[in-house]
Amino acid sequence: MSLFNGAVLFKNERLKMYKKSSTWVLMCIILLLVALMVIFSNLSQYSMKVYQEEWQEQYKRLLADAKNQLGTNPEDPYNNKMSDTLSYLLEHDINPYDWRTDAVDDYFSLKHNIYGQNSYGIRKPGEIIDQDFNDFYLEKPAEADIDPARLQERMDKLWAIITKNDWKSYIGMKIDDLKSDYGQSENKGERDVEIEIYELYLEKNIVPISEVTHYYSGFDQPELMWKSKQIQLIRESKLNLLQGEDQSGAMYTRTQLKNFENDIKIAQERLSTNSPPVTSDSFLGMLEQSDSSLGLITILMVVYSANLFASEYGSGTIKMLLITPHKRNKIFRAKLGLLLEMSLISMGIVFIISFIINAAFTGFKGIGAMQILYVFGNMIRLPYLLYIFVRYLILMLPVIAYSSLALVLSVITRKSAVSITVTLLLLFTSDLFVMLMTLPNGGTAVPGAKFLIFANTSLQYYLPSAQSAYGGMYYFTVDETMTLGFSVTVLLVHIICFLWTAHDDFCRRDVK
Amino acid sequence: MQDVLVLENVYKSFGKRTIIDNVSLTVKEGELFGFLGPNGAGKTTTIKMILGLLSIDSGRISILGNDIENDFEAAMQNISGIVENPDMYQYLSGYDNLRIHARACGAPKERIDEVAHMVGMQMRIKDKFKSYSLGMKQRLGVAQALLHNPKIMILDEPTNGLDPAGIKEVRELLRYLAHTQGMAVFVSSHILQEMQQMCDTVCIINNGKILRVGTVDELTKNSNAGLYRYKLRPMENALSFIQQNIPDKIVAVTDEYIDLHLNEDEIDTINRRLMDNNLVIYGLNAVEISLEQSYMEITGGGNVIV
Repeated sequence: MSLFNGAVLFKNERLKMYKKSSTWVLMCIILLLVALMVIFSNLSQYSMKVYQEEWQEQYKRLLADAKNQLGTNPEDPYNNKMSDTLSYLLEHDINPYDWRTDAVDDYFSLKHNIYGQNSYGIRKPGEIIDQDFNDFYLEKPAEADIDPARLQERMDKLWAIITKNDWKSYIGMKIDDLKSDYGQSENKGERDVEIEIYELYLEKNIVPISEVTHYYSGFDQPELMWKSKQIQLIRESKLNLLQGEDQSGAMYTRTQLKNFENDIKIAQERLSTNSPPVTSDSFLGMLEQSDSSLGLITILMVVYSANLFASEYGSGTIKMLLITPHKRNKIFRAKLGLLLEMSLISMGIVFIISFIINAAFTGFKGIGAMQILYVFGNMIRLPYLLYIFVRYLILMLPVIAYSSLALVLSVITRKSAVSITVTLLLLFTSDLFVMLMTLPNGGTAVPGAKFLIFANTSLQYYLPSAQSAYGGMYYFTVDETMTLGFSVTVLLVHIICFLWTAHDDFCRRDVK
Repeated sequence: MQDVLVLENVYKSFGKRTIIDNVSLTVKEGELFGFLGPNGAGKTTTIKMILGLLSIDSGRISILGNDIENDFEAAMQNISGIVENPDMYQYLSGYDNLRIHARACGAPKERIDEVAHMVGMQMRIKDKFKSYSLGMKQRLGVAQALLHNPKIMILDEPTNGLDPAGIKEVRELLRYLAHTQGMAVFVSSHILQEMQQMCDTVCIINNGKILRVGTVDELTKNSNAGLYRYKLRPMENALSFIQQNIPDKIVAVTDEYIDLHLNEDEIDTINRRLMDNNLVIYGLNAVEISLEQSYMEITGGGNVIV
């Protein structure tokens, strides 16, 4: 029979921890670093915006270059096209995201007999740039464009579209081109996807954004254009699903294919419910990125965990602790409870610090945004702020895993220094470990490597973020078959093993 | 009187070395029990086993009938102790240190001031533990051990490092606890004098074995055998007579006297034979054996009595 429950032991652990000045000194240092990290990322975001060249400036610079080169070679079709296009865009104040950029580009390409663009530059009709890449890059001029009358008709049509700012006709023209085999797209399936996507613009009444990227290299992600970004995301995912392999020829895994399908459904949901995704430079986007500072919390928690038992042995107070009428397992649980409380408190403080600093830089604009994601095959909607909080909680799992490692080492060695050194060494070299395990086999992991703790601590790669909402964010793991569920399981198994070993050792071993 | 602490055939070994070898002892209510032995005899190991810090290889330890291995929490309700040094949290005040222990032992908050007063620490109780002198730390340790009114208190070398005044204070406090409060107090020490002055019962341990248990009187009087100092005349005849007849009884010989080791019932026979041989006994007295001599004898460190 026990007269007392474990609550008093927990209270004692709290008193001991919170009245120790080193607890707060260390926490203040770490939190100061967290604050500096968040401020720094805001400043770099801010400076990127400030020092970013305005599109007009960049257009003027490109235009001057083109005109300069026309001075020596007035017949060059590429520079003529550049010159005409940029002059027109500047004159009519058409920004780089405006779909008319594409139409103007098309128009002047036709006017100067340029039919396509590839990574080697602009190509004239029939010109062969690289024999090996013929099949990929050689676009024959469309039959229609060779016939001067039909070419003129097409140019007139484009010109009308541009001057009337009639995007629907432009989309219509694109669809007609695809249906009539204009542009020689080889793959029927891909062509169907493209047609479907263009029809989606019309159906949803969404103005497309420019796909031409070679005039302007800005970082802006204007919120107004999120709808067409979502349609582009749908297009990319559909093409990926169709191709079934990435650009290097590697087959997509089942998880990746599932993700593409989910991305499509989420983008459709966003469009139909009019819920824009969070942009990475907004308040929520910055708050989300600040979760990288939880890495610093790992250091804090490792030191706390290592000292939790070792300090009792070091100061001799372990004897006083153990000769109270409580079994050792209760004492162990009380200490573990304190550790959990400390990790939640430090996580909470990091969240609050990020919240305040990011709000100071960006304001609260867009704080009510919704997150849409797939959980166990079900689509769920939740406020993005709540999602970020859940994200922080999930990202505490690796922190707890490293703390448990520090804990078990300190219980076994009864010294904190050894445990802190070993754990932090493993923490800082974990990326190296993952690299070493994947490199020798040419990118394929050594069998079993994915079950190691190091290979599973970067959970943020699995979680959808403001950046991934716009597509193009694919994570790097030891093995493509790994999923969030897998990594969480591996971490939990590690945590349980560490804590069980520590518990067993603490409860059984003699205190000499 | 009730048996508070009972050890029955306790063994403990570290690796191949047997540290505690078949130790059995009983401590009664209100008894000041001295646990005496040279350094490395196994005193601290025994104490750590009683307090549950070390596991027991075989045998049984119980406190008020509660086995400390099977019924740890109930056993620990009635015991407290200080092992080696009174180690507490240096960065906490004396009060906070007591509060932690009081909470863990289920002692009410008012009891903290009570025990602080009892050991005379009430003035400095809010100061940090690290600012205390060794004597104050010892007293606070005792205060902590008193918090939950245990039936038995185990103290490992409580006077270690204290000045004579401090030792006297501790001694008086322990006497008060045992004799007035009826608490059993188990004190270990390697200092004889202290034990002789303080304890009711003394247990002598060496190399992990209990050599002798008894009251201070029993151990010093040595009950049936004693040392007797004879002053005889003429001395030369007396010495030759004794050397011829009872050489095994001789302990020491000087010009003045001869010390003999005799049982009480042997004295009369010896006296008669001495007188029959015309030897005059003009002095005979029993020599008090100090605990020190007894201790040296028992632990094999002395040669007073073979």
